[in-house]
Amino acid sequence: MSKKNIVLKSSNGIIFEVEEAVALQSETIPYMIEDDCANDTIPLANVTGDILALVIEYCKKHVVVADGDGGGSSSSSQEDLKNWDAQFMNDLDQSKIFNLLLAADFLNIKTLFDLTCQFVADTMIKGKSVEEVRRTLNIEKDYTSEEEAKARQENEWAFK
Amino acid sequence: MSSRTRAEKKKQSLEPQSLIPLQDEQSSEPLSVFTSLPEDVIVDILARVSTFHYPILSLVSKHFRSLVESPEIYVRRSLLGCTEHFLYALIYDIDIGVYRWYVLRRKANGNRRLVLIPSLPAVSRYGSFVAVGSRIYVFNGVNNEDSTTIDCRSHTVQLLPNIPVSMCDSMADIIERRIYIIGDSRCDDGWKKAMVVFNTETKKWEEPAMKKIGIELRDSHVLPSLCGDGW
Repeated sequence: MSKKNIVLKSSNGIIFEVEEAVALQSETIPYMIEDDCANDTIPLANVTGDILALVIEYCKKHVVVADGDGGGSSSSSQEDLKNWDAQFMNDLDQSKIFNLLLAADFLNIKTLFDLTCQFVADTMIKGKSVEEVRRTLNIEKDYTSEEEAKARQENEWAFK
Repeated sequence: MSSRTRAEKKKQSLEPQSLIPLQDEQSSEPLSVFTSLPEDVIVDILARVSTFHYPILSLVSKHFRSLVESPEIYVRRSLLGCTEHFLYALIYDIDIGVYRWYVLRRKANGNRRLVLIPSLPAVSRYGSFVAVGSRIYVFNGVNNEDSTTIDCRSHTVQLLPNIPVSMCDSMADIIERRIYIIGDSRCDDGWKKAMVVFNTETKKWEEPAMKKIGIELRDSHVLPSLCGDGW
């Protein structure tokens, strides 16, 4: 049985041809297929080629595992997938992580969105001090010294 | 915003959105784009962090503070199954003769300790408590002292309408969004059992249904059976 392929085009014009099952992990793409049924190529105007390549890498990995045991994944393959996800995220720099997050949000790939949000929460926010969070996320302090002192006093219990 | 499902949101937003700039290859400084993320995405990220970390996050920026204090983040936490349970304790301070609220806090090193929550007012005496979701209802039945509800997300207190019957030695529990409080009430010939009902949805006191159907409260067995699973 021949598998249907879907052609995706990134914002900077890079073409990716993927199996339908890979592309349909996105809940957004089916709507785009309906809207552009006359055209075989689906333009993704706000996902660049390097980010789309990452999205496709993730979707390919996950579609393979979903098919592996005739629909149900064994616990070991789930474990492998978890390790693969962790390695996949660890290899990315911060800018790529945020752009991947946006792409997962736009393409509505829930598992990738959850994975990326959780990674940001775990590695850039959890357990960090106020100054570390500001520095990691490059957030400017917009409190005056008086405002910060007052806010710190209100939440004093949390710093003990 | 966050209460919409992601699928519904996507149907409405297939138009290209503004791009977040990628890291400038020429520059050694990475361009942080966290603050450029859509607000509901930032809420989704912060919702995955323990609420014990929220006081720290609220000091990062005014924007973070508004997010961790927003109802949306708790809706999101609930959808994600990120709700947490905390132990609150009312401890008597013998030096100043009042009860103060403490919360059991886990330190980064895994140790636990009770820490005082200064924003919650001291209580001179108390009646009964019920925890409902993220709120603790505190009923002070004696001498019509204020009954209050504590919002454990913000550690703030709101006043409740005065309890209609002054009572002591009271116990309370919740059944189907109504809090039933039973205690001893003074009457002309001594003390008798009394029951009052507080509706947590309308925030009003109601006539106890048991009174209407003529069930009499007796001293010995009503309290344990009603409050078996309570505080």
